[in-house]
Amino acid sequence: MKHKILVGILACGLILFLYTGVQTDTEPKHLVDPQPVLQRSDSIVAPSQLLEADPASGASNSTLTHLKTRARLKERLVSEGFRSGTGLRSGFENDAEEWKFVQTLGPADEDELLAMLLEQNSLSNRVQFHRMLTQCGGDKAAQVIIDTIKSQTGRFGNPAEDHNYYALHGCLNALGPISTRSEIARRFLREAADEEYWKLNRQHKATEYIEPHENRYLASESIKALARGGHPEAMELINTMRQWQPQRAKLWAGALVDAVFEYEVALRGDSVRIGFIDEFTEFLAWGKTDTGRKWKQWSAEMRMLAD
Amino acid sequence: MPACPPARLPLGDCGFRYLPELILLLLLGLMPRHLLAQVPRQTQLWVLKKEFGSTNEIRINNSSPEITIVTLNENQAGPQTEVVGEQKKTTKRSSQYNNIYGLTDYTYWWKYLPETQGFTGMMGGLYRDDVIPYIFHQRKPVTCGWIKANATIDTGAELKKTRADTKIMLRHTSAYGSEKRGVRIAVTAYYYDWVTGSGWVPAGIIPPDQITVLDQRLDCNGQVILKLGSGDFEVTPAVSGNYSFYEFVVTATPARDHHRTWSYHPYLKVGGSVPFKPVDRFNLFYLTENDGCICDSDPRLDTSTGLSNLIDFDSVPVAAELFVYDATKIVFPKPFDSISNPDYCNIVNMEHADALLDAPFADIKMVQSMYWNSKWKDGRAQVLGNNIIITKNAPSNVLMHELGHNLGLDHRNSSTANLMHERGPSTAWEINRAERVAFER
Repeated sequence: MKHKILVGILACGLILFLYTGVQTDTEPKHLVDPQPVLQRSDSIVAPSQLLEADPASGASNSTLTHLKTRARLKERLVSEGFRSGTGLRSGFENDAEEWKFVQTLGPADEDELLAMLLEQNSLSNRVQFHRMLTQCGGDKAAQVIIDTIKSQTGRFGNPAEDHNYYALHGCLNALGPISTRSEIARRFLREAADEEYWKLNRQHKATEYIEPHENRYLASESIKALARGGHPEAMELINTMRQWQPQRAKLWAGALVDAVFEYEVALRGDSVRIGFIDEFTEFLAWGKTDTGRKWKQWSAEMRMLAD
Repeated sequence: MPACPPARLPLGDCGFRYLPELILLLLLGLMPRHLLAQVPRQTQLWVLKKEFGSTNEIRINNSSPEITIVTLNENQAGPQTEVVGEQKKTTKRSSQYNNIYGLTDYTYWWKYLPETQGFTGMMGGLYRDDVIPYIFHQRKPVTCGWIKANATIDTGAELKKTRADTKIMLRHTSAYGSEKRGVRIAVTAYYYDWVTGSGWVPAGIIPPDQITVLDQRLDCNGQVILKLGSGDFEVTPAVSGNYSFYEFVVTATPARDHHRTWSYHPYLKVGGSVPFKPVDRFNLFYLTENDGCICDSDPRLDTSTGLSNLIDFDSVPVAAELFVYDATKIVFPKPFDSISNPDYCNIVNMEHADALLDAPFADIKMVQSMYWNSKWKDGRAQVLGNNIIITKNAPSNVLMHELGHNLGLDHRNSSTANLMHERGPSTAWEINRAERVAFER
């Protein structure tokens, strides 16, 4: 008898769950997950595994069940006027529209986002998905992005023409907010914040006049991303680097100032949002605060040092 | 020797009475282009020729073609008229000149024609002797009035064609040399009807869409923005429709000119990719949009009606141009000039962009690229300032978009066709009334 009651309760619960799931299909705003879910997992999912999880290529039962209960992400994106394949430019009409949509994303969207990301035939066309993953990506997203960074080979062209170059740097940037949910991302960024890491591991080459600086640029991007994740170790690193010999610190000053700004943004809980608003205006406003003034003053002094 | 005017007394000798002018001319000759642009422009609107006559050899007494040439110099004290006929009178409308912005409210002259002329003819059983002058005499348009008329008058005995034809010319000697400039021409045309016993009486305003100037149709506000080089242009409005007599009020105003200096990162030249030669003027941009839907006088634009959204969303034409000149330092100076270090050529840090924006060596700084936070940037600008950073491949509307920020405008994302849309395509040029105010201020 007890078993029958239990089964009955479970059945009711299942029906209720499915019902509410269907309801949310038509009301995307109910899908908003305001609290970033901290999913820390040591399991690494290879891109190939993610593709296998795609319903079209034979997904697991649990994934299929989940996808059946909510509108496909692709359909939601289409209904919002999103266009893929727009390179470094967002597929949404404006920042506000993009941010509105991104806020509806939750951890459950990660798989489908990654599947869509992997469908893109160029690095630059993946950027828009990297940006969305800053809201909901966890370890899986982190691993895909890190693999992407590590697997780049060959020489990139001039950044003004070869947008894949900046897309690669954007990968690091995206790892910042993801690192709040992914230890994999945090660990990688901490390593990558050291120029030496890139000297040892970088396989790709930048265009000729950027190549001598590429390791520094990649490390700078990693420092900024680490700061954007709000990790205290980022500030420790920044403060250490500020104490370097001026001629050495000079080359990093701009990135460090940006990183301090990103860190303060993260502390107020805006590490994702900052990617979808006019961050430069925020940066200018920050530059008028005590902290901002101090750092900008230092950077200006570094800039004026003779070569 | 005549007495020297008081203002010239300090020179002590009347022989030097024109010395200040000579010095001024010399200075003007040496003045950089962007300063020269502040010199009042010599755009003139004048009536070239005024003819009265008939096509059937019935001569109007004293009606040999009356040629009146009125040269309207800005700020002139009095009219320069040459009128055939004894009875004449001139009145003048107020004239203003704004030396800062170069906006000109032209001076117009209204001339009464002789009240009577020796010609008599029969029309509708009545003897009329002053058909055309009568219109002028009876009606005293508040502003300018030059008549252009094509009338067929049936005298009962014979058909007479009387014609009065006035050509309105625009002399445009731009301070920008051969560069074309925008000129806004506004026309109001009044038409007249013949009323037996009362003569020609004003009957209404000809709709702007029936009027063209230089083959360009007026917008609903009765204006057209033309892009003209130096020279004389006939801007006599052409009227379609069946109007016997009509007269015009014509005004011309140069487009608002904005000036910026520019400089570029030296690597752009090393890479062989500077888009413009250092000695060239950068470009001239010209905004205009005319959907002809909502006129300025539309009551829906009254903010008190609660329908003022139209003010935000309706796009309007604007006469504004940006002239970009070489900065004194056409390539970035230290510490932004390193060729070996591309930090200020390919900008990836906001701090670098901020520092470059603030640097005073030029208003517009051209760089190779800008990218941070996974977002590509075509340009950045100070709000209410002069400074702009722009990437070398940015479409031309980006520069005007950034100029909009300089003039205090914010983003307006209601349509991707808006110039001030944050991510508008290269075809996004539309601005609304509020933005027009900023661009033309």
